[in-house]
Amino acid sequence: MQLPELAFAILIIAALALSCLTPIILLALFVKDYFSKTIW
Amino acid sequence: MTEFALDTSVGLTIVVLFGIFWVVFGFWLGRKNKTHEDFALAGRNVGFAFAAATAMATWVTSNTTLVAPQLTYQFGIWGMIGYSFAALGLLLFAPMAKRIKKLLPNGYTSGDFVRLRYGQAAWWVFIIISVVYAFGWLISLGMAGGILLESLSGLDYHIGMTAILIICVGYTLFGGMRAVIATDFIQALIIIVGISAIAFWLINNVGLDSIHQNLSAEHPQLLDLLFPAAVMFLFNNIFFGLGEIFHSNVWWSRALSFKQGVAYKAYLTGGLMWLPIPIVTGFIALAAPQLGIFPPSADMIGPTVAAAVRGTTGAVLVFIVIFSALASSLDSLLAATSDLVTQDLFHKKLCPNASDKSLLRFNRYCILGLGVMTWLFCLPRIATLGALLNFAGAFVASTIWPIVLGLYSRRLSGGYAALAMAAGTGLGLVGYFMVGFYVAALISCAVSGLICALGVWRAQSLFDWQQLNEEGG
Repeated sequence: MQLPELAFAILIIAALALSCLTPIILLALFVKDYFSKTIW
Repeated sequence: MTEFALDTSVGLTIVVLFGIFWVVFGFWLGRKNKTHEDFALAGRNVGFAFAAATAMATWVTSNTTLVAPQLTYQFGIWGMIGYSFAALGLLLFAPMAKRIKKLLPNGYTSGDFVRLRYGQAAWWVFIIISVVYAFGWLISLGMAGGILLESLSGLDYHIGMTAILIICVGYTLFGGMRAVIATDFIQALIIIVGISAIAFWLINNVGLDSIHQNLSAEHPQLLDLLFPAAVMFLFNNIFFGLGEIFHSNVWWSRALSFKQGVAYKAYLTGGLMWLPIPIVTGFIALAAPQLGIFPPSADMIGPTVAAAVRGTTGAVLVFIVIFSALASSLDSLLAATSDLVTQDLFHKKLCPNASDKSLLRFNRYCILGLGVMTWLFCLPRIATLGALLNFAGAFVASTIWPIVLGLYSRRLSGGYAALAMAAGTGLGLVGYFMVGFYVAALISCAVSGLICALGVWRAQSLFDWQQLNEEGG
């Protein structure tokens, strides 16, 4: 049984979208920690 | 395009510039290290942003950037999905990290826990497993550095491998855990932006539909949802990932170095951020047949595709991404393994009265010594990265049940824990050599689980949790 084209596209695009969110989340957390002086 | 995507001089320039930056940064961060606890555990005070980034970045290794595409190229769709299931290790470790912080407020290493919870026999088995795994991983990372530089820029394998080891040893030596975690944050950003950019370029230049059609026509097995070896690989990889994270001091030392209340959410966030990465890197490999790329070594499929799509820019980008992925894991492993040797062997076995200053000095010597030993093991290019990685599966999967039950149940005794780890590893290795790499972790975990179940069932006494709270580390 082969993975259909639509499922293939959804899988890749969803993974890519999640990957793109990561740097935004990390930078937001860093800014929050920086201003609350809780980096270390 | 020439034989290599990058000029040797460009590759060397990137390595030198990155090397200088990381070492100077490590030195700058190391100024705050006054005690051994500062050096080994960053003062047990790491905030959420750095904690989540280090959990994700450390788990993104050469294995994610080189082996995930390789396995996708070999096992198709299940290769990348199976690899992404390794995120379960981080996700399931989240509640364990919280419990570790609670049970061992003064702990330093995973070895500390096994010694206090199970006693000497189990501790010895655990230390052997930890050392085999740590060296397997260190060697695979060192080799990956050499392979990367050689395949992308034509630089001799030995020079590339030596360069990445010197850089990582350098900044870990100066900055300790603080440098490891801060560089992980920057490396996490580089990795994720880099691989996303390459995947976007592929979608724009080659197209998702075109890749799917080519695979359907020419390589249908890569899209097969019932590829038996691949399905076996998926389950094997889950247990391998769990074993790697649950036992390794890389993850325990992080849990112990995070601020109170941070460990659980940091591992959960790190796991969720890591989950899509093998799918994105695996997708890059699936485009290879469409582009007419058939590399001589399967573990170079990802970099070769990136270089083919974007030429020199792609090659530079993939070079920086993989370099960052290697460094983010290599530094963590150097720091965690040296902590294990310093705390478990030197402090607890050889020199119980060692001063804080001597522990700090010994820890630094250890990092240096580990770097030299890794370099010696990497000199002969002994195996493909995938083979080397999966060999360790037989070892680490045997630790899953003893660690989990050790943290949550009072019924498992040291004798059963030691037997479970030893027998699980032995039979896992039999499976590795007689059946294939894709069953080693499965067999190891199953055997260990059965022995642990027997141990819990036949328990004669209950463990007192207070024994884990060892004053003064």
